[in-house]
Amino acid sequence: MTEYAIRIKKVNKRFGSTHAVRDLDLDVPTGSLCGFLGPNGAGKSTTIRMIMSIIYPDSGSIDVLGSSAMNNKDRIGYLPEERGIYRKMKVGDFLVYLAKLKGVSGPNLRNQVAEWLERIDLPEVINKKCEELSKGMQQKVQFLAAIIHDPDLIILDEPFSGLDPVNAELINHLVREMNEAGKTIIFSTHILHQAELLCDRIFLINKGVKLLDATLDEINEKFNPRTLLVEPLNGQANFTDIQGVIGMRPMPDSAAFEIELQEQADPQQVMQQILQSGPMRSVALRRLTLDEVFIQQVKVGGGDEAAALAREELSHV
Amino acid sequence: MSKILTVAWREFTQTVMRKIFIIAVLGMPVVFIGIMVAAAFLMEGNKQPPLIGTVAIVDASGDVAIAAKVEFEAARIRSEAQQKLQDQAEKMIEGVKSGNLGSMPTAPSQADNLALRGKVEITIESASADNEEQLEALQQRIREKTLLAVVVIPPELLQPPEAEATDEEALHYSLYVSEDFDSDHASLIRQRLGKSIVRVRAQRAGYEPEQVMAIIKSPSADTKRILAEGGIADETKGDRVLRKMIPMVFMMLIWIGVFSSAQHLMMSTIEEKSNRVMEVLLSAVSPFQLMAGKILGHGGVGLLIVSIYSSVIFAALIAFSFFHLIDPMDIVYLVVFYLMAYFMIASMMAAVGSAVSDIREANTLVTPMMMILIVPLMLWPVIIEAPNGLIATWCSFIPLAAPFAMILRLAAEEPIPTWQIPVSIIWGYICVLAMVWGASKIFRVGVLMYGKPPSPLELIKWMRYS
Repeated sequence: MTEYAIRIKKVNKRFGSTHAVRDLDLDVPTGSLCGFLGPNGAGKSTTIRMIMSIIYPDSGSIDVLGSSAMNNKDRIGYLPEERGIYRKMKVGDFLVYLAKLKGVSGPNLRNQVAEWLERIDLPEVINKKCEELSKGMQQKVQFLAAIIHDPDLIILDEPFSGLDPVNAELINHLVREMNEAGKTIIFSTHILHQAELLCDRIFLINKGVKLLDATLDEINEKFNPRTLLVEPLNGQANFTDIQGVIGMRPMPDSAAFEIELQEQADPQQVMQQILQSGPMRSVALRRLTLDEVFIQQVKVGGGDEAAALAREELSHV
Repeated sequence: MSKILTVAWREFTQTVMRKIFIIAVLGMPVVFIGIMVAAAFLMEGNKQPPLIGTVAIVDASGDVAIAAKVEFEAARIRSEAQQKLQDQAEKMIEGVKSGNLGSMPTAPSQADNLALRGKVEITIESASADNEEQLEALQQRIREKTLLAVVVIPPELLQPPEAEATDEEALHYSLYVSEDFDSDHASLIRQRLGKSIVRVRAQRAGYEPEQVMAIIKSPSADTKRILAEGGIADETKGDRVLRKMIPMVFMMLIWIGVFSSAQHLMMSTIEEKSNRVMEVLLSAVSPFQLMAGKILGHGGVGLLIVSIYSSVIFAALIAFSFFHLIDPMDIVYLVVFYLMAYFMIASMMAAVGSAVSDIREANTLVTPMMMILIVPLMLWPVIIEAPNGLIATWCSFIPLAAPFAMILRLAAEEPIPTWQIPVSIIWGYICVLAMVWGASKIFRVGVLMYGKPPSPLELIKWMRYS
């Protein structure tokens, strides 16, 4: 197995006057669980379709599992954003058909399908027509269709959209399980906390340009501004004497203070000293959420306008 | 290849196992036969009112009454009408074959209709009407409905007319009937009386009446075909009629098979696009594999339809021992040209189906295609009449029209130049390859295009995309 499941180099794709993807470089290490983030229209689905060889880049190269997706279709599982099913086909027949198209064969195929349906809490639908299923159930069937052939690389375009929390958790669990079994997984989403919970790697794109490509740890490291949030119980305090503290300022609209630390200070030690200095309602290490990183990056990449758009985007989530 | 077959198998089973398909395919011949039976039943039910009663003939010599007794026999009336109908049917087939529909005989006359389907029982009575009172008395009996009709024959009418006498000089006789007398009945009585008078005239001229009838009856030919490999094949009348029908039946078989299956193919492509299953499929197969699978699957559907219908037809031919009329090679050609026609039309239907998002949009693109396909249907009388004529030969080499034209020519009587058969088949299949190639280019672009339907020009542009 190669080190990278996917290697994208200098890829460009235009649709008429829209430059959907611009000079994109991306490496997805084998066995990683990679979140592919960006606001709507950022170029996520276009990139995924190019990875899948459904559409082709105008320039640049894409290497999937050592060659191209075209030659490795049976080793890739794909859940497109635009999900489809054969409405008149029975669920079992549909899944067997897709599994066969993905190169799975053998007499047990139908039993395997039945087992899988049980695993996703849909044991009784195998002989139902697809159109008889609820939207959420269809979504799970489609997810199953993407992974039924036990692929090495799984690409999920917005896998959680339209799912209730219970089913989202079920899918979440399956994704993690597959990743632990060594599968490389990429999923796109604009729900950032979803990515934060699940991914070990984040890839952020906006307007066809890559803004961020790092592990979650690297992001925490890089975007940790070394700030503490402290709320004293009596509302009055002064922490400027504590070693490592540069300064403090009150937070607007609350009784809390933001405390800035020196570069080399140990946040744990400072927090302990603060606790010793008097009764506290809360003391916390203030870390940037992925939302904030996202907005900050979009701002850097596309200016205030893009950031405003991104912020608006997130407020809908 | 296995993926293509997987797609093909799904397309085949999903189409064939649908209730609507089974009903349509099996139902069509049933409905067709049903309509014919119902029509026959209705015709039977539409019985003419019976013509029963007495016709009084006023003729001094009494000869007409004697002749009329023969001519008004129920069995004679019926058998003559049947003979006439048969002759007309033959003329009709002749007319269809030559494409000369203007000269086609009209439907059976009212009199024949009545003779065939009504009850006719007429008694002839000799009457005299030397003065006005006697005639008045006969007329009174018509009013009282004890007489159907009174016929007054002037004696001169029975003299054999001059050979060069014109219509205006021809004499008339009088026929009295009631006010509400059925016009079909009157027409039958006139027809029989005319024959009776001719009979009397023949007798007076010194001929046997039956002999005269026999003399003027035109004989029918007993055609024998001299076979190329030696010997002579007898041909019955039924043979002759069927021989002309066979090419048309073959062409219709191809036509029905190709159209119903290519239509299914287009519908299923549009469906995959509109329910967005396309992208899922394309993550597993290439657009070409998908298209090829679909074309093969629906080709199987068409072959199934053609074999169901043709086995019904062949079974009927065997049952009536007409199967010798079909050359086994014709069946091979049927398959070869069915497949050629199917691949041509199916690739176009697949391309159109991939490019549009609903059936209405498809219609605007399919219409020009249909125009080309109607051509062989419209030209078939011409092609059968002159299988080696200019039009027939040209049509055999025009894509889309070729398979239809060739099957007509091959099944027609006149043999066509041997070299044209392999050339047309090879050329046809080269066209098939080109069309499948072009369709696959369009298909690849089309399946992921949504929104405004493309114009035919844009479709051609898509072919050039790398």
